[in-house]
Amino acid sequence: MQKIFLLFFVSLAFSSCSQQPQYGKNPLLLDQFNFKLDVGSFYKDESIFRGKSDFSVSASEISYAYKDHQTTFIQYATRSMSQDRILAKYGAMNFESLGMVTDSADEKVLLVSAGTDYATAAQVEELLKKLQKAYGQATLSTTSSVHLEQVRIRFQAEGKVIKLTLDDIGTQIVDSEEQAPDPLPFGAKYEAKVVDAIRKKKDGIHVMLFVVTPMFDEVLQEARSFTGDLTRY
Amino acid sequence: MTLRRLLPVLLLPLYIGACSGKNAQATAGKAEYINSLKDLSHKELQQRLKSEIAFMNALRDSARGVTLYLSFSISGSSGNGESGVKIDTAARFQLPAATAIVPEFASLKSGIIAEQRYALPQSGFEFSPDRRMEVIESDEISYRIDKVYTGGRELQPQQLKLQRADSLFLQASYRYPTAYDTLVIRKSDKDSVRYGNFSIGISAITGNEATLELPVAFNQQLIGYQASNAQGVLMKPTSYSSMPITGVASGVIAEIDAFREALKQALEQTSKEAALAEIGKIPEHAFTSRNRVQELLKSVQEIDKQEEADLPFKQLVQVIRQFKERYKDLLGPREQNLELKFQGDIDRIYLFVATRYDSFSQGLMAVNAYQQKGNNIFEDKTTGKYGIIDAASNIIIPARYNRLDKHDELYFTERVDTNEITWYLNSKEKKLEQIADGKKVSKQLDKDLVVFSDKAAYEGVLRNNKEEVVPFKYDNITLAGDVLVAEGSKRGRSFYEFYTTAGKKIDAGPVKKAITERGCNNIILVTPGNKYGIMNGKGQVSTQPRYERIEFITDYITTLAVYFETQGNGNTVYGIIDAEGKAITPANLDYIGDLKEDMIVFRSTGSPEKRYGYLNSKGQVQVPPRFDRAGDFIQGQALVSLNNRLCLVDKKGNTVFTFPGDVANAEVSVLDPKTDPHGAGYEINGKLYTPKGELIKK
Repeated sequence: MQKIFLLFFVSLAFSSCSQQPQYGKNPLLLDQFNFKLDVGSFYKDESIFRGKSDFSVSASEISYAYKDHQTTFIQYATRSMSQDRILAKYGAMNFESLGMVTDSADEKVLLVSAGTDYATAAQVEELLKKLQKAYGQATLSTTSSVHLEQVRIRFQAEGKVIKLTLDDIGTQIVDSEEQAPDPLPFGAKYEAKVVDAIRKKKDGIHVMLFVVTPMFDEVLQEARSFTGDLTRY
Repeated sequence: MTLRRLLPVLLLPLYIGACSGKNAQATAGKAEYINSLKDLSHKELQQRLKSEIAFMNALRDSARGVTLYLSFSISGSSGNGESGVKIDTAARFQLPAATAIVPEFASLKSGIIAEQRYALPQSGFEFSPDRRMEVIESDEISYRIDKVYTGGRELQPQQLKLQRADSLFLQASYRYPTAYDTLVIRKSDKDSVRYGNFSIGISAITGNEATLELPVAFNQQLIGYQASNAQGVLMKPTSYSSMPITGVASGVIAEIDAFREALKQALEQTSKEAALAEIGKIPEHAFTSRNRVQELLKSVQEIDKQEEADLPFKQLVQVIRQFKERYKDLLGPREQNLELKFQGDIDRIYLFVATRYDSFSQGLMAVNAYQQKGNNIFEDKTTGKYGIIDAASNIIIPARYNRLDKHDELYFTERVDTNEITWYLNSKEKKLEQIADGKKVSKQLDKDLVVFSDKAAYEGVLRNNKEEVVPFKYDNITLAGDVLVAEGSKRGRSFYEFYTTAGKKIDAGPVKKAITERGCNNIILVTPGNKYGIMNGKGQVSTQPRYERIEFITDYITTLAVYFETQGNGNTVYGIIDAEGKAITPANLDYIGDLKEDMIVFRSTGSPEKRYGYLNSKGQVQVPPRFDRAGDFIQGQALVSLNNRLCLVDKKGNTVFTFPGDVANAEVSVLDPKTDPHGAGYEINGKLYTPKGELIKK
């Protein structure tokens, strides 16, 4: 009898450890995200696509050139956001918006984009520190920015690219007159400028965190048009 | 928003304390009432009458306090109503001119459409002009049915019952204002303003919104409203809502007042006999009304208790509906609640009140435009229940159901409160059978197939014998030819599956998009790899998906389609295929127009390069490409340019007319027959021509 109980508890503990993330049910943890996500299980609940749930997700085909071929990808986007519904997390940072890009077969995850409009300066600083600790030296994009007051910080790691975009931070980090190379090392000078700018923000800071495969990063580097979350890449 | 505001009927607090007095109010009728007074001395009678008068006062006040806001309201809006935006000034209010109304009313003679509402003991009708009225408010035309004609017989309206009327002879009347007053309500006005004998209640004038309470008779005379801001700029309402407020009808209140006055008269009499004689003058009906109002007030108290006890919403709605039904003899319109919203802040409101009317009346025939096909619903107005009749007006299902709506020959929906029940008519056994699992009718595809949606909003198809033809797992189902096109979705992206009308699934491979057109049996298929093909109306993939793109030819979608191919140089060229995928013309055309008068203009890419010609309705070359420019055929001829001249050619390509001048400096436009007063034709160098090339004199 004791053995049965033991087995029961072991199996219970095991099943809770291996709990699959599911959109809207369990937040997607991005700290160690490695793209091995079962898309079918993650978007298992069809009601989120059919307007029959508090959650609302759209899916559409996008097309980009990859290795001289026009290739179709699937882009998922969150359409209904609420601070009460946390869809993804990185460390202590909560995200109420979650997007995704998968391959044309809709099987392999190529990009995850998590966004929030309510981050505090302290949360962003902590996130930045965590990313720096995990992925080391970052670079700062100085071109292609739609908004001059947007900051895009890029980290490169084994098998993935992480990009942190901060919108409307109230200050232009890289002067337009500055003949800066692109990308620019994200050193102490620029970090101080970013921190100083976000600390002055009175309302929530718009943050978007991308975790991307090197292959899809390459696709986006060459892309000429973007839609949804990708406009902030 | 509280529950009270959500209710179809809202009961205001009421005062009925005086009703509990131990008086003759418990008496049922006049005779009994007088009998109860006969044994009293004159002094005792006077005491009783004083008590009775006090009771009648309380009864009257309580009855006036009962207010029902009905949910049925008229509302409208224009613009977004946001303040702070540029204000559109309104034109000053004007009455329509009689010179415009008279001919429009006379034009009714040429066509009135009747729609029969089958009912017992007598069918009703809705009438509408067969054309749009520009000046007359068509819903304000009143109609009186004089005679009904059915099967070549003339009947009086009450003789018709459930028979279908073929036509009706009517008297149509229209009353329209010829003079009006303007009532100005200022922002500073408090509570109410007077207009003649009317008191117009002001609930609120705040910012750009106003809420007014209008007496019913005043509301009937109200013909328009505007407002002005502090700068005097006139504004039209951006939205309005006019909601009737129902209470104990003014006639009933007047009856209670008359009862009370008669009691006062009796009190003033110097003898008991004279007092009883005064009481004897009170009409019998006033006693009935008094008793009924007492019953009503008790019911209101009970509903109030139930509402306080948080009765479930559905039950409360039901209770209130029953209340309305039970006391419909006492209830009537009392006021109209008018809510207005303007673009800017209100300083003054202008209410335009008709003071004089003129009216017209004329006899005319109306045709029952709706053929009685198959089964129909009917209402038994004496019970308010619904049943079903067949095409010959025989009752198949007696009137035992709540409101029924017909969706198809055999499927009906019954509304019970906020719920819908779908019924299937078992014609053989003449009974209604409930469709299980809460499935609701979405649409009828043909006489035999009906689309239903289940509780999860998935659609499926049932046949008219309840047999499932398409399972319930799709978002939208349509019919093209004999093919049921079922659109489903997986993870937010559409996929299409196909079924025969016998319910057999058709294997068409993965299809991410299916393009159908009304009136066309063919279906354009698009695969996940973006290849286009065609499925014919029999469910056969007649053109395997191999084309870059296929489109139906506008106006001729049934048999021909255009396919697209991209050449090595990146240019797109077009060809024509039939529904079976057979190439009618190879993909060597640079442009393909729409089908007009059985001809399709095209431009060639081959030799001679970039020349225009015409295809026939089979997609075959009818006029080889030789024109520099070419237009659509109009009245059998088309305008083309050839050898620097503008010409008209016939369908064989023969030149039938040459316009003066050369093409180089010509300014040419095609007249739009829908908008141009000259109709179809051409304007060439400032001169107008018919499609045949005849000069139109301006």
